[in-house]
Amino acid sequence: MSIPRVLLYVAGALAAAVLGLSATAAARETASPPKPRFGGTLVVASGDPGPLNPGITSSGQAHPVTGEIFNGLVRLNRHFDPVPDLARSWSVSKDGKTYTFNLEPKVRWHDGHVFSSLDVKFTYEEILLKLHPRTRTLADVIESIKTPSKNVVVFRLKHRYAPFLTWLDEDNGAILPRHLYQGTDPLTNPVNLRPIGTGPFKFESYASGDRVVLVRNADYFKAGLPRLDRLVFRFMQSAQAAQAFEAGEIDVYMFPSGPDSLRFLNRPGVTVTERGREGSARVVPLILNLKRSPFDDVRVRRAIAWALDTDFIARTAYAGVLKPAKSPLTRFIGWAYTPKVQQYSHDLTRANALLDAAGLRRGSGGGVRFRTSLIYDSGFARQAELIKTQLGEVGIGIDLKLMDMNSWVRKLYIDKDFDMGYTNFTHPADPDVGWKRIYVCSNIVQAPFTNGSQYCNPEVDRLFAQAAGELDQKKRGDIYKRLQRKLQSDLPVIPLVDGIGPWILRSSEFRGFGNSGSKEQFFFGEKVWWTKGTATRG
Amino acid sequence: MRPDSFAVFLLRRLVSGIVLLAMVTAATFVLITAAPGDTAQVLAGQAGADPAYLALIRRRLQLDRPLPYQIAAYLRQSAQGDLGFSVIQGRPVRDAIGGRLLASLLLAGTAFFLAALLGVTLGVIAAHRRGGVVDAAISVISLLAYSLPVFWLGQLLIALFAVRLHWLPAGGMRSADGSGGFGDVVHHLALPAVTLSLLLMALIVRVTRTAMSEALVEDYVSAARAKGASEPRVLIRHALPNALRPVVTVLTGYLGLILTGAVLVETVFVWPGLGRLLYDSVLARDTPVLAGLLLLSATLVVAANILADVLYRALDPRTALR
Repeated sequence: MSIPRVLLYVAGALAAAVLGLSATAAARETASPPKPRFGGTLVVASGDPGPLNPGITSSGQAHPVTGEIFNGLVRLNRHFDPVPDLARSWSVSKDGKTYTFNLEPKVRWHDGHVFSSLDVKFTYEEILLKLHPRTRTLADVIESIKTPSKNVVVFRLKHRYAPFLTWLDEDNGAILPRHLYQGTDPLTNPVNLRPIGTGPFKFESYASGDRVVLVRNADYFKAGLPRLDRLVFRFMQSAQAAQAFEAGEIDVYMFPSGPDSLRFLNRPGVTVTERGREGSARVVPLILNLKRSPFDDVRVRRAIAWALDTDFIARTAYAGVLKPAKSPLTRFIGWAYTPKVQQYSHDLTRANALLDAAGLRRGSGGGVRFRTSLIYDSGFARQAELIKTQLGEVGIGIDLKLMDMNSWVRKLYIDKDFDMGYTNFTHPADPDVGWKRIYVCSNIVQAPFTNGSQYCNPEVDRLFAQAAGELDQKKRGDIYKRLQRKLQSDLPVIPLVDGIGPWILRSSEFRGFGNSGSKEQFFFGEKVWWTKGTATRG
Repeated sequence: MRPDSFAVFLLRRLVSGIVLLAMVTAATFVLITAAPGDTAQVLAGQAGADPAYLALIRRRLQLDRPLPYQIAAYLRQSAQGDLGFSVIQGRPVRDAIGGRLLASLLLAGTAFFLAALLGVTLGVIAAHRRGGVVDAAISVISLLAYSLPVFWLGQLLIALFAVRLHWLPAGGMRSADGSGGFGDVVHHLALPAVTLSLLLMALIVRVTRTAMSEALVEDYVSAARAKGASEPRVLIRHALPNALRPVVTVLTGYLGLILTGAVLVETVFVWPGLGRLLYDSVLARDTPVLAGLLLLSATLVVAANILADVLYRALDPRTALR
């Protein structure tokens, strides 16, 4: 065994308290909300975002900043339901193919220009449907965009598409100023470094490698918001963020490691919580190359699932922050999720029997049945060690191949030159957006984070297509549950853990995190307030 | 060496330097292209972008052109002072590098100054007290300073001075509220500058001690003492200038590297300099910025070598006769 199991159990036992306590902390924050106050500067540790144009990137470093500057037509609440943002209301035609949005009437861009439906039409037609890495796939869905008046925009779809509204938030559908982007190259427009939005905060400065500073938009169209005066994003990596938080120099530590989550768990005035980060819910699977023997044999895939102790992996490698996966889909998409699928609890007898049945017998003296390899980057190092140990117990020898992220992505997704690999797949806000891509035949392409296992099942494709066209959420949910059962039986990938991962907040001084929005981490600044602020806006 | 022959020598060095820079640039492109991943892939993030998107971005950034074409185009435009545009940074490479240059110069300059001042002083004292307790203590200090990994030392200093004592900030170049002026920057500069200077200081101590030890047994030093010169005067006016040549070699050798070579220190202390830009550019496969930084670094190395030749000449006129 590469890692002493006793030590891992101790770590696991320490960690087991994380979610329970963090849930308590979250409950404390929401149970007795005092009256918000005004003023103050919130300092957030983040990555250097690069261009602040949310229309051309899905970068997890850019959107926490741009989410404070821009709006989408809708926002998503913590259950991933659309709620008004730039669109104050909307209606859907009976055939499910026409969406009419009534826009907020008194919205101005930060430079004083009036916002209108023409901005929406321009943003979609000229930027999002052409250059946004994810949203451009909507070009196959949207037939036309019309602007009957300056406050009304109408989307006509080519066919019914149930998840349509979930695409319209700032993450996938930030609306950009037409008057600043028309006739320019959105990739190189200098406005990308001094953005003009409609959101709660206005851009003040961007010091490369150091910080972005945003200031309150006093003319924000949502009355009484935002409450803070300034937002400062300081660029640093995880280790530095932990130290800066410890030294009191930052107030929000967005992506802490498992050990850091534990370290700050019971600090007075500090909250460690998943609340408000639901948009990052993910399932981490072990990806098998189905084009290679013996992974083309479902008995071998099932044997691996039986041999893995996902509970142990979750408690140790993830410090209990993520839970053992009970389904291929994350449990945070509640309406579509079901744990009523084949469960592969840790059972070496079944694993050995299946491998024997597949003709992969141990040599004399209980030797290795077959050798294979696992490619991964440093983010999966502890997990890889555990997987090697656990599969070794049923006679599967694994060569661990640690590489940098770009090399691993190339091997797995571009060259398909691997036996086993892994990926953190975020699924929200809709299974059609974040989950389908792992399984459908049409996504076996040479591009990152697609169908790496090369699983292709016409029935699965048909069910995904059927679900996308079903407008009744209950019926849609039933289809996705059928899919989970089918995928958990076929096991093109083996789900290991499911969860979000917390963020760490200085709750003694700042409140209002996580009270709305599944993608709250992308626009938390709107409602956050400073406990030492003034009672009224002076 | 006659003045005109020195000019010829300088011209030769300049021409060979320019050829070297072109070769470094070409090698940079080859290495970056050989590494997996590219700007288009990084821009796509983890969204699972389709091949058509990747092809579109590669076409727009001319990443789909043959490598020789890309190298030739880059050399042509960089010769005209245009280092290209970084889509990852969203700004011209000139601005991306220029925006970090001041921070790096401040950090490197301070570290250089500290290292040179302390290194030479301790080296002279150690040589003067050679074999004694002071010499042994300085040797141990310089050995420790040379051996400690900077990332570990940096973390230790942060844990002590920022987290525990709250005397100095944990990182960054300015306070979060941005209200601080020069004093605020100096406050932030203290820990990273000390950390960065230690290794170089240790090296200078060792080199100075050896060179001074040799100089102190020379005849001209004995002569100075015999003439009644005070010991400080003997050390500073007579021995030290002759012992400085190897120190200049060490200092100029590091000059080209210290601007872009402070990756670890800048990362640990969240210092917005060129070292971190280099690190981020490698991760982001930001070819234009990487090429620009390596070009800058190579230019500094070449310039530092030429500077060393000129300084040798100033410190030791005998060099000019060779």
